[in-house]
Order: sequence, then structure tokens, then C-alpha cells
Amino acid sequence: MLNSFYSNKSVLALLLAIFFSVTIYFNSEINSIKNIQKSWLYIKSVVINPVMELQAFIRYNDDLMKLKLDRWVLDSRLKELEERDFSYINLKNFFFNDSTKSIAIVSPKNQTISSSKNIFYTANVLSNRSPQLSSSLFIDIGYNDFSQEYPDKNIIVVDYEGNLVGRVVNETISSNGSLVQLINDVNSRVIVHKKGTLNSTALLVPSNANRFELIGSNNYNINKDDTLFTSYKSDIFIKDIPVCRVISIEEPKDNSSFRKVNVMLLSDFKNLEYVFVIESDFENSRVEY
Amino acid sequence: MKYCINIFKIFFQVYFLFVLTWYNPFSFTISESPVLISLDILMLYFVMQSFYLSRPKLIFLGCFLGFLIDLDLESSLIGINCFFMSIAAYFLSLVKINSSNWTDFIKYSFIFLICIILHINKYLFYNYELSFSDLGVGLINCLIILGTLIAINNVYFKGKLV
Repeated sequence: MLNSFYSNKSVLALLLAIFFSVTIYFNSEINSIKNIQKSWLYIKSVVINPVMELQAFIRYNDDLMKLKLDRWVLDSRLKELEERDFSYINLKNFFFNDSTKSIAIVSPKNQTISSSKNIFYTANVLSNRSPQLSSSLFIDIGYNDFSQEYPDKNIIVVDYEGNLVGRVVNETISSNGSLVQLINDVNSRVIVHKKGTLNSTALLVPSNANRFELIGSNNYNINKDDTLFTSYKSDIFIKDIPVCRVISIEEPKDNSSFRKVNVMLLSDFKNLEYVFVIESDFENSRVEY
Repeated sequence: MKYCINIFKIFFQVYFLFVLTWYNPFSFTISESPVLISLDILMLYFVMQSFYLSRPKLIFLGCFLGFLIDLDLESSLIGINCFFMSIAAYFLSLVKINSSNWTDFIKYSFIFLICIILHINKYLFYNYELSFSDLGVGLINCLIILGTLIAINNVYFKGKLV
């Protein structure tokens, strides 16, 4: 029985494998490992490109069908209107009364976000179908798409509702794809605050994939259902991005003076199809105290 | 030369399985668990290789497979899958070593145990609390692996693999 557990070759192989894994775990920031990861991500982005195109086709096909339906409804409404008499409406007054008002009626609401310091991109998310536990996402834009303006850049990712998703670490950007470190990653540090209380900030610590605890929230006037935003104290994330919602507060017990605040993320990582990527200058995003 | 061809063959097989994983459309989710319910093709391949390869080779395969999973999924914890898969390979090879001593039930139970320990281990490294739904998803995924292994063994290998 003991022989099945122990043999020279297998123990040596195990020791070598453990040595290799521990070495790369503690030296994961070195260039050679990051270059291997970049190459792997590049290959991945090339291989999965047809999936992206198929997803885009399905998505646009849906939109096309909706457009056709809208057109059909419009045509039928137009036919109905043509049969009616509108001579009693003074169209001159309606259109030419005040030019500024008519422009306000016609022009769509301006939803473009502009900033002198930030550059915005849209990116598709490759649906990660791996049954492995993971705290990352793969998006289809890489350093070929990012601007070369900022030598030391901060890249953060938000979902279509503007909720914080994570950030792109510079070392995991390949030429046409990037790995997003989600905010529930064990090494991710997000400082949050409640709007209107800028002096009190707290650190988010993941306790599950979409649930967190707040550290440093003892003197903090937060209540259940409050939404917390990224703090101005963070070097990485732009301030005032919605992050999480308070779901429960456990009052301090006899010996402890700390209360436990549990929060839930606003973004649903499992159902993300596309995200917005915000690139900013690392130096400009620093807060001067 | 034969050795190089074998290495190339294994590399190609592993890469092909990764492509399958990327393209796999069949995955489901329950409640708030971050892990999807799906057939873990890489784990199934790893378990099946344990019946073919010698123990040292299986350890190196586990290390290599884990390293590629790390490159694919990990942004900050590169090395943890590599570490766990190597240790899992060490214990998984016991099934082949004791194939004449153990009954099929013990073999399958042992494989199931290793799969579930591998699943739970990652929660410890991620500092996540293991909720009931997380454990449930892990158990279901391990059962899917085991079910597929039993089906392949009985249908394709006529009971000669395990």
C-alpha cells in the first residue's frame, strides 16, 4: 500500500511540478510569464473571432427584424392617417412658431459622454463557458485599439448601465483582446463611499462572487438599500461609478465594536454581452491631497 | 522522435479541448453561484489520461494543463491551477495503480472525491465563502464528469478503461 503512495520518480515529478507552480505564483508579474499569457490571449482572440461574428450577426439580425416590424407599423399608421382630414390643424404654427423649440422637439437627447481626460470604447464580452471558478472576463479589444496617448494608463470597465465591472491590467492586454480583472478578484481593491459623505470611505472585500463586506465602515452613516460609489481616494477607478448596494447590516455584538455591512454588486457578470471601457491617464487620475 | 511526437499529440489534444471549451454553448446557471453547470471537458480528459499515462507523466500533464487554465482564466492568481492539478494527478494515478485491488465503485468514488476537492480548493484561494448553491453546482459538475466517464467506459471501451 505504501509503495502506491511513494516512488522515487513520481515524488520527484511532484516536487518539480510544485516548485514550478509556486515559482510562477510568486513571480507572475515577470515579463516572460506575462508575454506567454499575452500570446495565449492573442491565440484565443483569433480562435474565438467567429463566435464574436456569429453573436454580432444574431444580434444585428434581431435588430433588423425589429426595424422591419417598425417599418410595417409605420406604413400601416401612415395609410390610416392618409385617409383622415387634418385641414383643421394649423401646421404653420406648429412648425414655424419658434425655431429653437422646434429643434428641441426634433433633436434627440444627447447621450454622448465626453471628457478631456478619458477615452471611451465599447467591447464585446466573450461568454466564458468554462465551468471553472474564475474572476476574469475576456473582451475583444486590445492594445491595437487603445490609444497610444497615455504611456501609463488606467483602463476600467463598466457595464451598459454604468456599474463598475473591473479593470484591465496592463500586463494582460494582447494585440486584439484583453483579460478584465473583475472587482470580485481576491487582489482587487475598490474603495467606495456613499454620495454626500465624501470624508467616509470603506474598502470592499469579496466574501463571495457577488457579495462583499465593507471594511472601515464603523463610523459610516450607511443604511440598507444605499448605493455605494467609487471613491475619489482611489488611484485606479474614476470616482462616482456605482458599485454595489447595501443588502444587510449586522449591528456589533457585545465584544466587537465593528458592524458588519454586507453589500451586493450592481453588475451581473454572468450575463454581460458588451461593456464600456474607459481609458484614462494614470498620472491624471491621481488625487492631489 | 517518438517522444516528441507524443508530446506534440498531447499538446494538440489539450489545445483542441480548450477550443471546445471556448465554443461550448451548453452551460447553465443556478441561483447566485459564479460557476456554470457544464461538462468540464478538460477535467474529463485529465481523468481519462490517468488510465493511460504513468504517474510522473500524469503529474507533468496536470501541471501543464493547470498552467494553461491559469493563462486562460486567471488575471492575478497564475499558478494555483498548476499547483492543484499536479497534486490531483499524484492522487488520481492511484486509481490506475490499484486497478486490480479496487472495485469500480471505489474507483469512481475516489475520482469523484478528487474532482470535488479540486472544486472546493479554489474557493479557499479566492477567499470566497462556500455557499450551499456553490457546493451544489460543484457536486452537479462532478457528477456530470463522472456520468460521462461511466458512459464512455461502458459504451466506447466496453468496460475496459476503468
